[in-house]
This record gives sequence, structure tokens and C-alpha cells, in this order.
Amino acid sequence: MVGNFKINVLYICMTTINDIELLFRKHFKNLLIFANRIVADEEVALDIVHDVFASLLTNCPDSISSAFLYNATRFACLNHIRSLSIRQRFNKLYAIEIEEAEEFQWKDNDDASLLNSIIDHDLSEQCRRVLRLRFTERLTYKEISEKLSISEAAVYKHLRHAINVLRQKFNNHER
Amino acid sequence: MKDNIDRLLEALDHNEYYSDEDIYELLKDPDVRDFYDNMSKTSSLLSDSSVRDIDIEEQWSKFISAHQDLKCRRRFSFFSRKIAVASVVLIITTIAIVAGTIAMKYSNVFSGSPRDYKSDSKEVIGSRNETSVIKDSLSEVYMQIPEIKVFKDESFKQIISDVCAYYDASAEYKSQTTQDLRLYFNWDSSQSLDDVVDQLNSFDMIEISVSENHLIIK
Repeated sequence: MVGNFKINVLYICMTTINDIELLFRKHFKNLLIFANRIVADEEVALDIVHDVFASLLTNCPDSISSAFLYNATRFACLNHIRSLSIRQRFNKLYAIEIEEAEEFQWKDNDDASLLNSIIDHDLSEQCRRVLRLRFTERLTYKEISEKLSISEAAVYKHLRHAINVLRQKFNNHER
Repeated sequence: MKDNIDRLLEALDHNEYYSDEDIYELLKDPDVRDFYDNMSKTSSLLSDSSVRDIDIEEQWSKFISAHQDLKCRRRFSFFSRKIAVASVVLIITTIAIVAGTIAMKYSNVFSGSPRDYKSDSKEVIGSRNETSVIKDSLSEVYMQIPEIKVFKDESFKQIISDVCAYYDASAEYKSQTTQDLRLYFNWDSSQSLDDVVDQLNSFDMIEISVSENHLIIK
């Protein structure tokens, strides 16, 4: 009986705050990058990853693997996308149908390296600037045109050219 | 003259000119869809740089201050475990004192009247047996107390090696990738091998089958 009592108490909460701190320090940044690749919004990604760790405090799982953390983050990101209207999904360049988002294979670090290499070597200076201002700084076409002193039509042109080059290089690489 | 890709680019920043139906129509065009998917991929990959320099210390401080109440609850549960351990020690001590008192009582009888020597000595023998029964039951209690081994970011191979050594089991790996996994896992050695395997199988990437103390890891 005494032994059983101890067994039960020990199983109430096996994940302590120290375990969570260890996991947080080890995985937070990579989970944030992973979430940000899905939602492409730093603030939303930060909230999602914080919530995943907060759920460990309330749910007290007996054991946690990195796969568990990544799955929890992925589900939270998909739930976020699910909560958005079609228009909001389009504006953020997400998959329009949630089933497509669920099936989408999120790109890994090798893809990120390849993309940056193509941007650095295969695009003109102006194309590179437009692309980074649009997708890294998240500026509107109007803001980009003002910043670079070019027309909005020129922004479209550079963006279109840049995406076409990236698409072609990516496709060649995948073959 | 605008084509559909120009319209797509325009729709992304000038929503007011396009209805949801217009957007659906645009995305039905395979070229537009392919362009949209590539923009999506580019957007996803270029977003990395904004989060790569995140300050973990700052994020941890924010996390702790935002969940102070949960942290306290967590500490309470941690302390409740300590209290449980203390309770076990207290109960064991009480049993030991009671056992000691019984032994002392019979020891006094033994040293009292010589004429009761025979009958008393039998009782002393009896009490000795009783004490040894108590001691044995305490040993059992100690044996029953589970030993929880906490694996923190340990290789799956090492966990299986420890588990197999304890249960005198053998392991066979069908793939290398599983061996390289790293896990956070609390192993309760009071559980049966089958229960431990069930717990490990709850991890997505792990599939273990057991046959007569032989683990087959796929």
C-alpha cells in the first residue's frame, strides 16, 4: 500500500518546470523557425510556440520527444490557418484549402540555403532588393516603390521575374 | 495588357478590387497557382531571418512571468512528491519504532522472572520471528517503491540498452534511424517490460514489438 501510494503520487506530474526549461532552451528557436515557415508571421509564430510550452505546464505529459513538440507546433499553426478567412489566407500566401495546408511539406534548412544561394547568385541587385523587402521586411508594393524610387509596375515586374527564376532553379534542383 | 499573374500580384496588395470569387477564379489557372505556390514557398523560407536572432533568455523570462501561476502549481506538485516521499519514510519509521517497542517489551520479560524462562523464551523467539516478518514486509515495501529513471535527451539506443539489461531482454533493430532518435522519457522500472514498450510505442516514430523478452524495433 505504501509503495502504491508513492507510485500514484509520482505519476501526477512527471514533467517539472526544470524539464520544461531544458526543453525550452533546446528547442524554442528551431520550433519558432518551423512555426514561422508555416504562418510567415513572427508574432503569431511566437504566440504559437509559447502556447505549446504552456500546454506542457497544464497537461503534464509523462514523456516528451522533440517529435511531440514539432507535431504540437504544426497542429497549432494549422489551427491558426483554419481560423482565418479565405481572404486572410490569400493575403498571407497560405494554402487556401486547409487540406492543402495539412498535406504541404514544409521546407527544411537545405531549401532555405538553396533559396538564399539562388537569390545571391542568380538575381539582379534590384530584383534581390524587391524580393527581400517584400518577403523579409513584409513591405507593401507601395512602400517598396517609395523606398526604391521606382513605380509599382516595376515592383511587380521585378517580383515576377524573381519568382520565375526561383521556380526554375528550384525545379531544376529537384530533378 | 495585364495577364492573370499581374492580377494575382495586384490582388495580393489591393484586395479591394477583387472578390473572393475573383481570387478563386484566378487560382484555378494552373500557371497562376504554380506562381502562387512558389511565392508561398519563398515567403515561408525568407521569413527565417526575422526569427533567427531571437533572444532565448528574453523569451524564457516572458514565458515564466506569463505563467507564474502555473509554475507555482507545478512547484506545489513537485513538493507534494517530496511530501509523499517524506510520508513513506515517516510510516516506515513508525513501523520500525513499533517493532522496536515490541522487541523491547519481550526483552524485558526475558530479563524478568527466571521461572518463566521457558515460556518467555518461546515468546521471545516468536517476537523475533514477528520482527523479522515486519522487516521482511518493509523490505518488500522498499522493493515495491519504483525507481524512476529520467532520460533527458538520451539516445533511443541507450534507453533500450538500459531497459533490456534490467529486464534481461534482447533487442533487434530493423533500421538505423530509430537508433539515432533522442528522447525525454521517464522509465518506471516497477512496470512490466510490456508496459514500458507500450509507453515507448506512444512516440510517433517508434514501433516496437515484443516476443518472449526479445524486442524488435522497426
